[in-house]
Amino acid sequence: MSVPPESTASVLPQAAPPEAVAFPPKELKKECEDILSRYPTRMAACLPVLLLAQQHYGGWISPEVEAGVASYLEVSDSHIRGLLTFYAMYNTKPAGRHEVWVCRTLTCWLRGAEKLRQTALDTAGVATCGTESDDGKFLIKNMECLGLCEVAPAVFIDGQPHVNVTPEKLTELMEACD
Amino acid sequence: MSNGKITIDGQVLDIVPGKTVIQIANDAGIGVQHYCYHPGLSIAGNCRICQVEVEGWDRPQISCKLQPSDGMVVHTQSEFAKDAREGTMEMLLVNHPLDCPICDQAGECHLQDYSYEVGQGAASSPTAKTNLPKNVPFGSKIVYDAERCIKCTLCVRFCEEVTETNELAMAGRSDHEIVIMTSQGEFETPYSMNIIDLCPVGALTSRDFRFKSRLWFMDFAESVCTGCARGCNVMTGGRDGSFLRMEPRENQAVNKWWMCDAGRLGYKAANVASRLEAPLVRNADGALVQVNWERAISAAGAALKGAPGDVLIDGGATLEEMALANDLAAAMGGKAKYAAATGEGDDFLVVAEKGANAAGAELLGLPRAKKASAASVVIVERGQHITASMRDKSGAVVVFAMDGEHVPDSAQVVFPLPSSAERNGLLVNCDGIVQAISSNTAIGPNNLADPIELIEDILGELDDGYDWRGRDGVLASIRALPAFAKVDFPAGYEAAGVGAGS
Repeated sequence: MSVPPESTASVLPQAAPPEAVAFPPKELKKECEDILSRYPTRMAACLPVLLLAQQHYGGWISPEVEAGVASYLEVSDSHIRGLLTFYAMYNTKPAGRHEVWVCRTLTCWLRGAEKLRQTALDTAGVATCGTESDDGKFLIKNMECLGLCEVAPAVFIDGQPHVNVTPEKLTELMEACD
Repeated sequence: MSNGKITIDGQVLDIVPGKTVIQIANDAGIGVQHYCYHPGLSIAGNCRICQVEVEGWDRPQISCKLQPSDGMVVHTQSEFAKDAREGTMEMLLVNHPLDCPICDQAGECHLQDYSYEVGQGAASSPTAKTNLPKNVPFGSKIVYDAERCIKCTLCVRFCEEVTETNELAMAGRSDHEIVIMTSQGEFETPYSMNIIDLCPVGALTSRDFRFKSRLWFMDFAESVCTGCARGCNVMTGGRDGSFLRMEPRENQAVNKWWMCDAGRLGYKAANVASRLEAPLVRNADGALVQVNWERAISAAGAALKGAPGDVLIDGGATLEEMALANDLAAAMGGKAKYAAATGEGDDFLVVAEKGANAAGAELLGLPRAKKASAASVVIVERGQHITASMRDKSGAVVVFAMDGEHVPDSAQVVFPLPSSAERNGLLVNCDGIVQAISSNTAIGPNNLADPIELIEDILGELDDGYDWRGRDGVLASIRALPAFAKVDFPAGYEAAGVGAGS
């Protein structure tokens, strides 16, 4: 039985590893230290530090920021990558100036969240959730239960809850964004 | 002081501090199904297949993480435990593609095995299976299939805890959770292919072994890697004469569960097209021609008679071969020397000494050949130890070689040498541990003579009064040497018939 050799040269991605940003920047130094002082280990501070970093770097965490945070918190890049992909509130792609979260869990869905999602996508002018609109204004995201079932359907815009939302109301709210 | 007793499946067992229920059960020979548990890694407890029933407890417990307490009564095979595992199995298979007919893991897949034991034919979920990335390269040596993956995180934990290089991460969650490689390109660790063995399913497969053979057509033998003096314990797998793969075998004293990628892929030397398959003798025209074994042996005797000289032997040769090389040199009035390369080592398994049996040669009192010198007989396996200049400048007339590339022009008689996967014998590793290599009959050309027998036959040609000893006799004379008085030989090596000379 002959064993043919197999070339693997073409299957590997050829990209340089990201260059870590210096983290934390001066503006975040004090806040980061405050956060760290509340936790027993540096690893335990990953989530709040990442949220802070996301707010600071334009609503998303680039591979460079990821590497910077990893080295600041003395954990591996892969640990940070795991967290960023596990939690829906972190963005690993450029986010718009305004984030619209539409609930996709049961109660909101029964109360018409599907229509809200379509309205949000149409207003922003994008085809799918999780992609920044061309004008850089909106990012529409599907979210699991937002905890507002009694006043469903619910939508968050830039972290602010809006309840009993109708498509008309959502259009209004989004048009009010600058 | 006793730490108390635990009863597992009716067996009363001692509680060992630091051991969880699955470990106590395994030590007692009670196999508990598991995917995400591995004795060499931290306990994750995420696959849930090791669930057992504990008397007096309402819920099934995962035995990998269950701390035993005095008087605890555990059932691994009760209806309750089986029911829990059956449910787990169904969940694990909800998104599994069941592409066993084209999966390299088939035949050695825990998902198949356990499905056979506790699985059921149909899933109760009516929704379609998820689509996830397939054929994802993890470095150049490993292929990842996220659909087959059961997210046990063994591979991620290996890169975190054993190699500490952190190339892998779990990304996403629930049914879109996958393993990703966070660094680009190759693995930083030279031990990456261990994750293929760790993977209980076909999610991580070897690109080298990809689609080469179904497992059940292959034959396996327990052996030892001869890539360096560590001597990692391995299983060799072959089929129809081809050496197809090598994988580590557990030995806590040597390599634990692992081996390096270079060692694992080092098997390819046995598959080269220039392998010698029959003895050759140089004819009057100066060409090497194929002859039968008897002609070659008498030609070798004639060539060596009256041509006194040294024997140069490969540092990866077995103890028995080296001892006989010593006898052969003595019969010719010369000395036997061994040659072994040195290279780079690391702080885990790979050592700088590359001669797999260099320590054995030292015990036998063979000097190490540092530079090229004259020798009448050269025994060379792969050519990494006895360099081209060493063998060409030796002027050897009788050559044992695996590969035609390694035969010097001076050779009058050439014997084909079986590779280390095709021979039996003993090697002494860098820590002085004596380990056996054993022949896998599915590898290499058929009907190659054992070099032990050949050297003895040549000795018989040189000395009319030579008393054939066979492998056992050679081994007995090695054990009688003062240097081996305190050396432990592998238990059952002779009893198992491996050492029985034919």
